[in-house]
Amino acid sequence: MSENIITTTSAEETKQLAAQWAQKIKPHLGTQPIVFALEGELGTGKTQFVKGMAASLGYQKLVTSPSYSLVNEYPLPSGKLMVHIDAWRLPSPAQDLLTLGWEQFLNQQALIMLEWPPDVNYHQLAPQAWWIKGLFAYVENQKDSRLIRLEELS
Amino acid sequence: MIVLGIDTSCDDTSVGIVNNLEVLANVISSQDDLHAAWGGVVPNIARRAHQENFPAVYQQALADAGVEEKDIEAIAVTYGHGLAVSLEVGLQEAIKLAQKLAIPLYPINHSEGHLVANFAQTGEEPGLSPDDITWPALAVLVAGGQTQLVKVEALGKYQIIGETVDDAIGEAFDKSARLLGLDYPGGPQLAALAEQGNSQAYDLPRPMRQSKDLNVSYAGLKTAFLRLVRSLIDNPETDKIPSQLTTSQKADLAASFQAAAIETILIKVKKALAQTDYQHIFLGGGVAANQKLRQDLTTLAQKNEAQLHIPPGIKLCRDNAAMIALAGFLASQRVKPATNLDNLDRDPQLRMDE
Repeated sequence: MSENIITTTSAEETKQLAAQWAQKIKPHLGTQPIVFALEGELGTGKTQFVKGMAASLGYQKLVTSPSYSLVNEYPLPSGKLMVHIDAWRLPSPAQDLLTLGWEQFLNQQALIMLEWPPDVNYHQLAPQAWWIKGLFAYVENQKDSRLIRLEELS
Repeated sequence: MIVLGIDTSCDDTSVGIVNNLEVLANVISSQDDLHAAWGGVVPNIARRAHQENFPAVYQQALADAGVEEKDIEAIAVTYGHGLAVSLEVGLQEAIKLAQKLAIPLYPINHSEGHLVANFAQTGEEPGLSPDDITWPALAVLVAGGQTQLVKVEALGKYQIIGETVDDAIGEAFDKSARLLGLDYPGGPQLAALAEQGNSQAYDLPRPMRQSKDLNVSYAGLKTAFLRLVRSLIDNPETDKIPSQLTTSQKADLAASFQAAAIETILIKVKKALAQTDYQHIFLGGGVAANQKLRQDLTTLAQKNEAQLHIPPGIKLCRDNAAMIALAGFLASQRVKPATNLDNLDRDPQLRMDE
């Protein structure tokens, strides 16, 4: 298990952090489902992280928030699929995920960026996936800074 | 031509019927009450509600229009953008109907529906005709899932010249309303509250004001609003916020937010008008019901000697299927209907320029 705690001071830095992770997961894309479980309040940089990830993987079109559409699919130039799901305010996320196409995304060995409520047993959702948990938080009295912890779950 | 339209793109089940540009029926079954507890649309609930509501909404539309099933000459259905699980229900119903009645089916982009709602003829008054328009025109589409500036070269020929890079304006309204303790969807209630407040009471940003392009951002405004609200209270827990604010604070917050949200898009409309000599501006989408936006856009249009068009009636601004039927009728005049219905699929991220 490896862990990273980073303070970013701008949206641009949050995107760069995502770019580093993009390099790390790139060789494994398409060989197994990879899930980033992103937790944090609105405005803490989760979507910026997803934008940075998509751009680093060569996706050139606009990446927006899925808080309205719940699921955004981004076909990557490599032929792999990246999915951004917003499940954090759903009443029964595990059940709603199935409706949103969860199993199909897993079968496609997709890269899944999952905005998700805290305190969940991740492995039940997809034991076969590579899970990386991301925690996003504000830094007191620093408007543009964010505390981001990324942790691989074994 | 009698066209029946179906829209299940989000949380409203709607069936509309038009005869050419005249609206004969526009039935909307809202699921707001079902989703209110969760502060937004819940996919499981939405899909089931669409399935359960559709037959009654369909029968009601036929009754309102005074037509029988056999009178329908074409079907139009929203196939994107929207929630995949919701879109699927309407699309399946549309395919079944088109096959049963052996009539053409036109797959419609939901955003195009919001645009052509401006051509709806309701009641006695003659409506706006596409022949009245000098092209290109500018469409300002403001909704819960969309914020776009579209250059309309002609009907069916669209170029997205500006859009939100994150959240939509309607979503920002709804989320900020929730912070103030207003029930989902709180946008219209926030606008009503803003009437009683001072829009200069609090300072909020106009994100991307300085950017040269025509894009807008609402995530930054939403975050700034959360910060502002928290700076006024002691307990920052989201569900404890409303009870710590006074009535006049809430009104001032609503007014300040509304002013920022509307100015954010107006700055870019102004820029678009400076770039191209548009003589016609179309407003569309749920936020088109907002009175302040209407007033400010009217003033801006007058200054630029352009005509501002707004869909006739609030029902035609929000998600509805009469606008989809209209888009179907207009599409039937320039394109062929869908050929292989079995392969027709929803496209949740469909764009107007695709």
